[in-house]
Amino acid sequence: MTDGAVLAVEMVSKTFPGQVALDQVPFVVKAGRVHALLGQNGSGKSTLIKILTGFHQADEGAKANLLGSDLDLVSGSGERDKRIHVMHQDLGLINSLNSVENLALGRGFHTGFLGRVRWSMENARAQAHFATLGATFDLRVPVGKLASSERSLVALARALEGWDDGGGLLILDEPTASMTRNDVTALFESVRKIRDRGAGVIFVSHRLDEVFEIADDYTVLRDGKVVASGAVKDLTREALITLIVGRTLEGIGSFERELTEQPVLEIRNLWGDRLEALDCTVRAGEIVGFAGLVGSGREELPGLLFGANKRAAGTVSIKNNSSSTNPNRSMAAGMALVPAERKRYGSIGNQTVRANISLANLRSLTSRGRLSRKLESSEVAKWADLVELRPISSERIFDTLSGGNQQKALIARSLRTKPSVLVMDEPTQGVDVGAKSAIYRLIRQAAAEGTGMVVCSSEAEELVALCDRVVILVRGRAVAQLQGGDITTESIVWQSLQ
Amino acid sequence: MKIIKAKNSPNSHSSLFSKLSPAHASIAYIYSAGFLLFALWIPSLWFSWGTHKSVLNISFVVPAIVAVGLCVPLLSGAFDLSIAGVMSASAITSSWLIVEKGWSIYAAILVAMFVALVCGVLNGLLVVKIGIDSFIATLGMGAILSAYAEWLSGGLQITGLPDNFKNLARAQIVFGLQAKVIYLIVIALIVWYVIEHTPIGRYLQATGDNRESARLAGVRTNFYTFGALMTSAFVAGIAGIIQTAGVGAGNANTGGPFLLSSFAAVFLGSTQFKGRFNVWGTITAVWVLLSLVKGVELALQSYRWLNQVFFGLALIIAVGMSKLLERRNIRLAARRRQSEAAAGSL
Repeated sequence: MTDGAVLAVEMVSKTFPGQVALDQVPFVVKAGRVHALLGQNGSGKSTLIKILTGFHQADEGAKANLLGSDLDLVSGSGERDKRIHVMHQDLGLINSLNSVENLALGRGFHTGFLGRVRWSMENARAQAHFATLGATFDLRVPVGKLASSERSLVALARALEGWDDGGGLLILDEPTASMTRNDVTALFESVRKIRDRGAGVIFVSHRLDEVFEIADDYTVLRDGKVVASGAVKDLTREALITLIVGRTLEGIGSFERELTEQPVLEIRNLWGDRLEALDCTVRAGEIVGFAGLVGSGREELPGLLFGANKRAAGTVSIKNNSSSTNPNRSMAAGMALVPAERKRYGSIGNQTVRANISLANLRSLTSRGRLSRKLESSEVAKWADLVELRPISSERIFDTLSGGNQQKALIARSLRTKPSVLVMDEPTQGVDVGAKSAIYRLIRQAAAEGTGMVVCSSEAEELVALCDRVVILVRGRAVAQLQGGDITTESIVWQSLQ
Repeated sequence: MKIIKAKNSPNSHSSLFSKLSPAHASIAYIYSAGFLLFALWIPSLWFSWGTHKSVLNISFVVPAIVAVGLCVPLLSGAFDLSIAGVMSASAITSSWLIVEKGWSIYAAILVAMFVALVCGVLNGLLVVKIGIDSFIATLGMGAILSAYAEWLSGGLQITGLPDNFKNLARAQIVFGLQAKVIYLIVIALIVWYVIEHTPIGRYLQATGDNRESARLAGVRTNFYTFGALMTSAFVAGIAGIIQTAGVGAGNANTGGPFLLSSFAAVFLGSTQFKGRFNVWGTITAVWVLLSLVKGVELALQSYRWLNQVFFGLALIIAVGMSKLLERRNIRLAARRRQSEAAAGSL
């Protein structure tokens, strides 16, 4: 064990079916230091966090030491070691309960005679606990009514509950993703207090300015391997970006074609929950990408364009017809959406692939109101072939397909409606490498046939590989627009981190 | 309430053998077992056409009609607990207008059906526009409608209905069967056709299985939920009129006994043939349950509590079975994906 280390792990590997997520990773967190864990999506950092918190089990051979005693990561019970404290991105608070109750939920209430909760004791303990974090707000107000910075303190307090000796490990798993700058400052003040009491802190974030602000040490993961580790003060911002990005995606070739000037999608002064005043025009056959971190407004853009979510202001017009806030009418106007999170928003999982593909345009498969199974089967077979569903299995239950085939089937559903504009949200989320390049070919093919494509993606390489133009969103605003040769992974990451 | 299709492999749906397997047609087996039991126990009564005819004429038709109507909102993922209240409301409205106000039976029936449709529209508004959970909205609506029926009838049976009204349900047709069997057949055929052979059925099903996915695929989910709640209320209204004509008197609690039976039948039916809510499974379930109740009634001669026990058990067993099937299918799917991934990485 390394001296002064709170946590020391080595040889941590994790193999998922068909994919190595972590490859013999070493990782040391020292006492009284904040350690930034960095890497792009899919680099393995969330897998590592999930192994440390007992959610995943590591492959045989992993060794770990926590505060001087062995930590079993391999056979794990699925439970988190009590000495590891975690604050998750979504905070995980119950809004209708107050701070005292939220605090007690994790460990159970102190009860007295007949199981009665001993409120005075709970209140006193909570007061004392929150005071150490510098919290000054009323603890008896329902958490949902607190300011966001106060809510994050409640989450932090809960993560630290029962942590009396000051030593131990605190994991902050992208806690700042949807926070404002002021909230982050407040959170960091508390984190510094904890660090100064001698705790080890793991800090996961995509925001590099925050890393330079709070972290003492760093480790960068790429493709499941540690590519660099050291002290943050020895590092420049540029060097860190290069470490995170590594190489660019290769092997899908260039895509040259003449673009017409005809606009198919015009976004004017579009406002959403986070998105602010977006203006953008997409021409026929053009592939326009949107990049941005969690909380930049990128995630809500597809729903706003498609009319699935309420727009705060602004218009979206498809071929000069302004589209309403209703998916059905957006489709009639010529827009289609392939949503992210297929299982929740894309597929009817317990129905057949056939029913999923045909769903968006069933009227074309009817004769005098009757749905023709024959027409449907031949139409679905045609599309299954076009999107390279392998094996062609249109009678299978959708949920039993691999991720790649599921995504291809949903793309087929959208393309079948012959859209003028196709919006794709995280088009290759949860698909393997082979399916990825097949999906890229489909996107290019659709563009070549004159469809205006909007691709929202958290993977910079994906946007580099696909897009004619990339709009970078930061905190709701379009801060930059990259074109042609300027679209590189470095430039996208660099601009997103401003 | 999600029910995953039992069939998983591409060729299983076509084979008759698997269609009749115990997993897909369990009530056929239950019925056979019951049939055999009563054939040995009470042979003379059981093998008389009169026994089965009385099930058809007296107890079968009305619950079957209500249950078929109920299939529609359940398919779209919405509960309709107001059907009993709607039945009572339409029963009392029609008989009150005829007996107390001296209206012609056709005008009274039209008004009663209109009342039922309005109930459906109200349900739709509460669930779709205001966003109240369908379970809660229709529970409240049902209670209000029962109260309306109680109030209009003054708590008394409305007797003195004319024969031409009673004959709408009771007129003899072939084999001594009553006219109301025809209404069931017509309603069942319409609902079956729409659910199984038009895009509407697909849209309802997609809405019920994953509302958000369906909406993002362009399905007008609110429209279909609204329409489904209108359908079940309208059909329940018709059932209320048929029941009144069949019994020959308007009763403020006409619908009460049919709430449990229709839910039991629809859920038991959903485990049959298709693995989701379907018309023929529902009708078969009503028939089997009522025949078995009749058999026990004849054999034991004590029956007041039998219906409740049978339907309660059927509801629990049906939903329990579909949960078990669902879990099995999830396991199978996981195993399949694993083996595919293993094959892919080689």
